[in-house]
Amino acid sequence: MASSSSSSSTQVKKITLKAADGKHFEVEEPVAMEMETVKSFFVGNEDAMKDMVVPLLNVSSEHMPAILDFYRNHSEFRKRTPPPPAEEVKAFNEAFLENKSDEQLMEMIMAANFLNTKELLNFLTEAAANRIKNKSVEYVRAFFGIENDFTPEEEARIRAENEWAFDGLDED
Amino acid sequence: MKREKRSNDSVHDALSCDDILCDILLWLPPESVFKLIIVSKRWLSCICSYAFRRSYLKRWKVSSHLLGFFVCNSLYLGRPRGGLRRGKSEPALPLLSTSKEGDDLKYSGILKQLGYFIDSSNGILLCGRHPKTYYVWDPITKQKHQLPRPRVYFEELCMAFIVEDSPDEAMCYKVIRAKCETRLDEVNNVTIETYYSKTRTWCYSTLTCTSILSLCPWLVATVVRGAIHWFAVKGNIAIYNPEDEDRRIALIKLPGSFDFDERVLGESSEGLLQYGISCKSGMEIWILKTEQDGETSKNSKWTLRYKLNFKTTWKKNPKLMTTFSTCSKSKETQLLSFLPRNSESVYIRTGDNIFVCHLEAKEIEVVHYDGRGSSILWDFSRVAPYFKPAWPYSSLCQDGQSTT
Repeated sequence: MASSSSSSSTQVKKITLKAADGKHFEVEEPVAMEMETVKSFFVGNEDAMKDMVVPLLNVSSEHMPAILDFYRNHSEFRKRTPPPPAEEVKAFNEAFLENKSDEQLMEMIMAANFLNTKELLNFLTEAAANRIKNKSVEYVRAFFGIENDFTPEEEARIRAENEWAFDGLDED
Repeated sequence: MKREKRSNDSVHDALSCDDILCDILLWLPPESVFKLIIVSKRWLSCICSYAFRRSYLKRWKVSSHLLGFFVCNSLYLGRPRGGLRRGKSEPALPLLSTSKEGDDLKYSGILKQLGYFIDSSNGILLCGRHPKTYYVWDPITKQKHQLPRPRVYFEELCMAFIVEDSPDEAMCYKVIRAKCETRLDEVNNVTIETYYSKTRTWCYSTLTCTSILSLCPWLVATVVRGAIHWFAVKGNIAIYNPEDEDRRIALIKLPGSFDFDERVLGESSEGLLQYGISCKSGMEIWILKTEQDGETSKNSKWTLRYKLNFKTTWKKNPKLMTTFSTCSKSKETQLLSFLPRNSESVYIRTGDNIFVCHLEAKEIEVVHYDGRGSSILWDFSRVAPYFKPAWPYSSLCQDGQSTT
């Protein structure tokens, strides 16, 4: 009686998320609620039971563990008093990005955008920006896999119209 | 985009979402982001867009660049009947160019069609001839507007020019003409006429003040955060905010000595009004801070930010001093102008030479300009730096926008 109710309250509720490729992930409710997309699945949707599986159409299972790890750690950082030292957060963030290819980074940005979590999206877009900062236009095109769709004449015209923007050095 | 560059399509998908592209670009500093306009058509239109500009300017401080200095001879612009006439060979709108863009503007011929220089705001020029003809010209889109004739005649007047950021290509601005009272009887109101580009009409109104005031004629206002600041007689400035509907004009006493040769107004780095005066010995820079004093009343207070002695400042720059033999001329040094939204540096001049003076370090650098040969009547002229906001623009953007 009493023991059963206390055991259920200490046990954190889990929500099941389904990645794009069909793989299931059991996630603690507070962590799952970090994602606005998951939250809005339940909020205002009276029929949605907490044991329903939430489909995440745009998130591949490859990135789910890392993304969940990010939420868990960052929500823990936010709750902690006193707040964790900046170095600790920085160390976690750096470790998070380590060994991630440019392509993986872009896929995670897509996922964060779909999951609608500002914190993760800001963090990842800043990381992408850092990778293209001070790089040449050629490098940026290669980074994102973009084709130059300007004719040489058009490109020359833009350069002429905005000469000041190209005054600096055109390094790497 | 049909071509496959990568095995995974999702990268293309990510970038086909403008929000994500903007989110990434927002993290890049100005020197890195603007040259990316030539990555592709989509990037060009994204970076040039109004939405991106708005978000970007909230996060980054983007500097303007100096094209040159306009010389505005007050003898011609506010010329009384029978006053001094401009010589045929003398350009009405001389530009002392300091950049290639300035040179292009100077030789484009457009400056011959605009009359005299009155003011510039956000890179857009207000020119013309008092009291009837006014032009507004955008150097980027090359749009030229001739304003309709003002409806009222003012014997003596001062002006204000405010350009607002607009989401489309159309220029959005206000031109204000304010009457300068010459009568000796004392008045506590100012008659103004406002032209608004959206309504395309001049609108007449009267501003009231709690004290007696008279504006100094033939000057242009300094606009800080939408509020207009005009010099008024007896060492005051008059402040009017066109957004306020109560049509009031406030009067604030200027600080410092009244024994000055030059005085200028400007906007500080933090968006406050700054006031600079110079006399033979040196210059002072003051900042106006407004504090909310209780519920309704505001308390404005001037603070002295810099006080510089010209002689000692020149001695700190011995190389320049010998090159321009300004040692003996140090007494002739004058404050010329502030830089836009900047409290670190000011323009000063001695004779025909213009310098930028870094106030904290007391360092002086020469500003090279083209047009030294032209005779400038410095005592009767306002020499105003002409800045253009550093934001990319492309004529391709207009026809390119729909292709993505």
